This record gives sequence, C-alpha cells and structure tokens, in this order.
Amino acid sequence: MNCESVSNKLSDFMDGKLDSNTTELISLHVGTCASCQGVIQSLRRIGDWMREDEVTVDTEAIWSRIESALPTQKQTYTGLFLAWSVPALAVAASLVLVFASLVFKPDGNREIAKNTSHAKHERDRDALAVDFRQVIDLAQSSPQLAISSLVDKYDGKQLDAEAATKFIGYRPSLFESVPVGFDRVSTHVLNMPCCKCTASICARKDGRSLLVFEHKDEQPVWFGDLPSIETKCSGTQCRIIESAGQLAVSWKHKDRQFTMIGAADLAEVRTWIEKMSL
Amino acid sequence: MSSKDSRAQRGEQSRGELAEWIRGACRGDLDSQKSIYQHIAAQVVRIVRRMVGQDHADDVVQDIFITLFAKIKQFRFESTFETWVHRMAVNQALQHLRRTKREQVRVREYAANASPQHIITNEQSTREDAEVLGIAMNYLSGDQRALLHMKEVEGFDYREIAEVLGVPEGTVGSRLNKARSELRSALTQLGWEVSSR
Repeated sequence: MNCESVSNKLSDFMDGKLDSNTTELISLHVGTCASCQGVIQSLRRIGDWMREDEVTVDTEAIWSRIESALPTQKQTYTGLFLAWSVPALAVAASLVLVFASLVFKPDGNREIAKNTSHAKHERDRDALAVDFRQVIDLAQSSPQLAISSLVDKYDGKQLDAEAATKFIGYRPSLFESVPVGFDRVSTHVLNMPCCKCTASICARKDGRSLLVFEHKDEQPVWFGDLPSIETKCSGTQCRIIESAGQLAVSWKHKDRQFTMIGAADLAEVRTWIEKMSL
Repeated sequence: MSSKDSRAQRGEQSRGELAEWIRGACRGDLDSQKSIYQHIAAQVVRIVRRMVGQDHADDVVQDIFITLFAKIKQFRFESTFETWVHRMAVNQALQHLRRTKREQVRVREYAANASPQHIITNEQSTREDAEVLGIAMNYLSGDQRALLHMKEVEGFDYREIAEVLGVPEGTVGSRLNKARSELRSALTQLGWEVSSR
C-alpha cells in the first residue's frame, strides 16, 4: 500500500471499521510513513479540539421561548373532534371561535421580548398571525384586495406557470388542475417569512372567489395564534378556522402544504383536498 | 459534557419513563414536553450551533422543538427517540441554511479571513481557537458539519449516523473521510499545525 491508496481509508481505519486484513496492511504502511502518521495525528487532534470547543449549554432560556409558542392543551382539539360527525364539526367550529373570540386577546399581556433574537422571532410569528387574519378578513369582501395586500407586503408578483415554477423551484399543483366548478383566475408568488409560496385566486361559477396558498416548507403555526380545530377531511388531517361563515383550512399532501381561505363549507373543503391529492 | 458522559446519561435514562413523556406530549401535556426537552435539548443545541452558528442557533432550536411537539404523534418507536429527534434537528438546520444561503456567505468570509494573521500559536486564547475552528467548520457543508459533530462530539456510531442522515451505513465512512480531510485542509490553510497544539 502507498499513501494514495491509504488516504481514503484513514477515516475508517481510525474508527476501526475495516476488516482485519485491510487494517493490518494499513498499519504496516502507517508504521513506516511519517506523512500518514501526521495525517492521523492531526485528524485525532481535530476530534479532540471539537470536543474541547463545546461549551456549557443553557437550555432554560430557550425553553421559556418554546413554552410561550406551544399551543396549550385547551387549544389541542384533535382527539375531541375526530370522533364528531362532519355537520356537527361545522357548528362546533363556530362555537369554538365565538367562545375564543371572547377570551382570546392576541395583543394583551404579551411579555416584552428581552433579547433581539427572541424579539425577531416574536415579530415573525406575529407577522404571520396578523397577516393571515387580515387576509381572512379582506378575502371575505375581496380576494383581489387580499392578494394585493400580500403582494405589497411580501414583494409578490403575478407569474405564469413556467415563471412561477422557476421562481419557487417546483410546479404549483393549481397549474395542473382545479376542482370542477372552479377556474384559476390568477397566481402570484410571495416571499413570505416562512417560505416562498404561491397564492391563487380561484372563482366559482357564480363569480365568488376563494384563495389557495401552496408552499413546500414546514410552517407549524400557519394561522398564528388564532384558535383552530383539527380533523380529517377525506382522510387528510386538516386544520380549520371559521370566520363570518367562511372556512380557512390548512392541510398537507406529500411535500406540499395548502392553505385555502374562503371555503363555503366542508363539502367544498373535501372537494379541494381530494383534487389536490390526485 | 463529554460524549461518553452524554451517552452514559442517555443509557441510564429509563426508556419506560421516556415513553411515558412521549405519550404525555402527544396529549399536549406541558410537563411531559418539558421533560422531553430537558432530556434532549443540550444535544440538539450543540449540533444546531455547530451547523448554523451561535447567532441563529436559538431561533432554529426553538422551531425544532415546536415542530417536534407538533409531530410527536408521528413517532412510531421504530428508531430510538434520540435518532428521530436528531434527524429532525439536522433536517431543520439544513433547511435553515438553504433558506438563508448562509453557507455561501460563510465561504466568502472564510476566503476573506484566510490570511496570515490567523496562523495559530500556542499563545492564542481558547476563544481565538474556537473562532478558527468555527471559520474552518463553515468551509464544510451543513451535512458535513452534522456528520463530524455526531461522530466526534456526540460519539454516535456509523449505524446511528446513517439513520439520522438517511443514508446507507457504508456511505458514512466515505463521507466522514471526506469531511475530516476537508476540515483538515481548511485548518491547514488557516495556519493550523498539529505539532503546535
């Protein structure tokens, strides 16, 4: 063996991962080669250095941030609602939100962020929550106005299928097809804090519209702090909030996360989930 | 804490107690979530710091645990919980790196900083040593940083690393060899010599 043939096996040699025959051959070479001895010595020293570089970790400070961002048990409705029938769910959603609107004050008693990164995270989280509440409100009167607001805030632009695909790195599902009874009117790309996403306006035959957002990255708090329920629609776990008789729904299919704002009822939600699953 | 201490501590941890915490966390029980956090947080913080750097680590760790508790019902006890958490942590840290394009910036910083004033001497402080190692580590990819950290600091074996990274066990050795070699080259360019340490 020579230095060249040994070099790509030194790591396994150090970790004792080679068979006895190869280990013996390398040992013979290393025993007579100052260069390879130096390499092994330096690699071992790097390992020591990495371990020495580790400092004490203060995890308590991070926990207080995590704790404040976790949903409380009262906001975790999954188990309770999974057993309910679909019509009861819609009624329950309204009741939950009426109750929550009475007790939930998103801006009240918020602890002042004590450090910059905490404050930044709080701002990002709140930005999402506030923006989607605004979108939900605006979408009730004008989906186009809701999109315009997002375009201004997140440097958005309207693109065709090819340009949108190039911009976000994958082809949005809505360019493939939308459910029968709907037409895709427009698609904008947005630079959201969580990710790049598409926002599409889809119109029903009677002219009323809804919004569909699609992105790839995980965003666990899509609706911010708004109370929500979780249930299964057409076999897909989804998260629902209700506002003024309209539903906003978030669900995942494969690597895509969808959020629909302005669904009329759960039947419409099921139609979209089934179509986007094809 | 050394890797041996850390792994011994994990070994002593009652698996039954951990399973109880996991079931509690699935129900949204805050005490169970905190117990899980205390069990695994130090390891997660260390690997995330190694991958994304001190400045961004706390934000990434926070997101990791929020995601972890949101997805904990998906844990099926098919791998160890620690492996499952590490996989999530590494993936989320990589996602952060891709999102911020920080790696490219770091490589540029590395190139700009690779000048003679970084030559290591015995008199240099520990802080400076850490900075030099940090600069050299940032010459590696996020995957490579995670790989080296799991092997050298946490003391994971090849099988555990393979599970976390989702690669065949046989691939771990060749990737480790490459990562170690590249880190050594980066340190050498920064003036580091094994004989001087």
